[in-house]
Amino acid sequence: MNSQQFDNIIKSKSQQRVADVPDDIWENIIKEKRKRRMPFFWLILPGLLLGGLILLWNSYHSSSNKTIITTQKNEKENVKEPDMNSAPEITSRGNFKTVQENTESSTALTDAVKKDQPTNVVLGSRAHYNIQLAKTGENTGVDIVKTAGKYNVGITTPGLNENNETGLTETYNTNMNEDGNSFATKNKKCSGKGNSSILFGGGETNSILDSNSNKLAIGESQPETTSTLEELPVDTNVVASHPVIVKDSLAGNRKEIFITKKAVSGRKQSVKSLKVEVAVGVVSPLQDYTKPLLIKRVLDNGTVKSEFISDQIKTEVEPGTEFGINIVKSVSKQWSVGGGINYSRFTELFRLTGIETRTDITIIQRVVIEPNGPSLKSDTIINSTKSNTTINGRNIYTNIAVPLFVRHQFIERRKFAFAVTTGLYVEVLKKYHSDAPGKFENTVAPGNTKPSNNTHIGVDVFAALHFSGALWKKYDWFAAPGFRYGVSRYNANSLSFNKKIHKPVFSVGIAYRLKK
Amino acid sequence: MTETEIIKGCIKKNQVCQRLLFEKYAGKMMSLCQRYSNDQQEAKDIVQEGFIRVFDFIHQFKHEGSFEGWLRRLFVNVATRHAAKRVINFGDITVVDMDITGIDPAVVSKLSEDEIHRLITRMPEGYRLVFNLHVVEGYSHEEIANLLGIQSSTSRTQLTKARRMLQSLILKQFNVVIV
Repeated sequence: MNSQQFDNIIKSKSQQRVADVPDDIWENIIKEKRKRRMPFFWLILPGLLLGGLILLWNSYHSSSNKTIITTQKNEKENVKEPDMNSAPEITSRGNFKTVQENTESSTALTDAVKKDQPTNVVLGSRAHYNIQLAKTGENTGVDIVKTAGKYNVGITTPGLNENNETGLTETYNTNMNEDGNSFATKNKKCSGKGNSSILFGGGETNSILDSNSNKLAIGESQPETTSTLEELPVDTNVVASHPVIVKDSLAGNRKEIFITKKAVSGRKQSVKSLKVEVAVGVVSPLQDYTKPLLIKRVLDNGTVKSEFISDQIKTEVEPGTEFGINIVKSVSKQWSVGGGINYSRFTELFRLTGIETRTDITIIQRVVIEPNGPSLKSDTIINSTKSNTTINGRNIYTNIAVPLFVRHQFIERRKFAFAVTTGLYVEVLKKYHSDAPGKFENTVAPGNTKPSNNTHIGVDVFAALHFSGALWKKYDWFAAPGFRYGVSRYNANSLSFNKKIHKPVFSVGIAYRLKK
Repeated sequence: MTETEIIKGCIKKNQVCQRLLFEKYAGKMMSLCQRYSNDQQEAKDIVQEGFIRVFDFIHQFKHEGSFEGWLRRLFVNVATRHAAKRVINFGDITVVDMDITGIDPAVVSKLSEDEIHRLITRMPEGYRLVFNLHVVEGYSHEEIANLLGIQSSTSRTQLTKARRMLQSLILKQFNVVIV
């Protein structure tokens, strides 16, 4: 026998051999395939979070740089030359008119402010004006004072109203700025004549930041003047880098100066903002599953046994509702994080068509005459029938989830804002109820895992658009169309078919600002 | 379902077709993997990984030649990659020198597939790998050298010794006396 013959025999025998295959190999292959698919979903989330963190870091970084530059600049030059070209248009308000622009008056004003002198301004002047930082020894005038890393317009001496009283009848805080000068910020609305008027007396030039109404008035008035100063809305976080518009008006012996920030946004998100959002939404679930090949139900009460096998399975998930309460905390001017609780519920209608085999077992007794006398004997009569049966039922899915999300605000306008939200819905409870009687068992296609009865938690990845706008006082409205992608399956029981349910959602609600 | 239909289904990621393909070839591939592995668990791992690769790359099968041949090559690649993770001794093993020219082909033919398999798995790993690749799978010595990172001359030597050892094992196993 030569090598070639030997090799050929070995080759043919080896190639023909069929080994026993362990049962779990196929299941392991399926599991492994799923695992390899999963990173796609999990890669998106860290990517988003990483992107968010980079943007967040950039936004903080650039913001702090700006402040430093501005501070240095302002320390060098106390008063900046007015820039008439970029001055925004100011419309007439009440008895204050925008007359011709006068750069000189503006300079006079700033000089006066700087020197703590009664201001002499020309009627109707308007110009850009840069607020200075407070310096040591300057305890009056319009200053920017820095508190907790933010710049606020401060006052050093509360003014008096026409009754020789302080214009600030409510409590106000006296604080020290970074150079040791005191300043005050008002906590509540000022008293005075008219609506939200503030009067400053003694010829001193003061300013006040009304932290309650988020309006700023800066002005000078003689004690006998009782005119109302119009308050103009400003951002509470006035920073030194923002040019402001000074509007001067002279009416009689009254000199009033109004200062407001350029391009004020009424809805600008504060870094401190904290709000509660209550939402109600419509969910229109989508199913993602492999239909079982067969569904079997056995009912057995001792005398009647019914075995129903269905191979025609039709299910349809109906739109449902969801409710949610979230707390949203802003971490920067554009970014917020939030979390809360969400409840959703929807129903699924299913129709199972198949053959039911019903077996009736009847035990009868008969008298048998035997040699030693009559006796009773039991006979079992089994009657079996087959019929085409359709079972219509309803499954109810109830979910309680904890949403965790980040939100990035792209557009901010006075009337509305637009943001994108993304995050996770951690489903802490997935309940499932079927009103079809009996216990069902399904036979799944090869490779599909049968559902277990013990998985009631899961995760949805979601993304949503978020439109919001001011509603009333501290209330905002919002509308949020979004999509929740079900990562985990419903393994609640055999009738849930081990399916994923994705949830397109449209939510509307009201947000209440706890802090602005 | 024909094999072509099953393959087409697998290309479309149809799980039923994948299962059918698995059921059709799992036994043979398990046998192949057992010949290349040291234990049952490793063979299972290779089969598992091999089928995942089959399902991922089945679209690359060009319908030129037999599908089983394509499948075998893919599994051999996976198996040799597994084997390459271990330190394989391609050195000499003392084998009782026997004259095998006198073995009656009928004796070898009478051996069952399982018996041959068992004898092959009794050979040292270096011999076994080269023997399997050359004799059973039909790889050239150059291909084997590339796959295992050895010289082709080493492959030749290992094959000769492996063949001799297997024959001696057969003779021992069945107490064949050469006259």
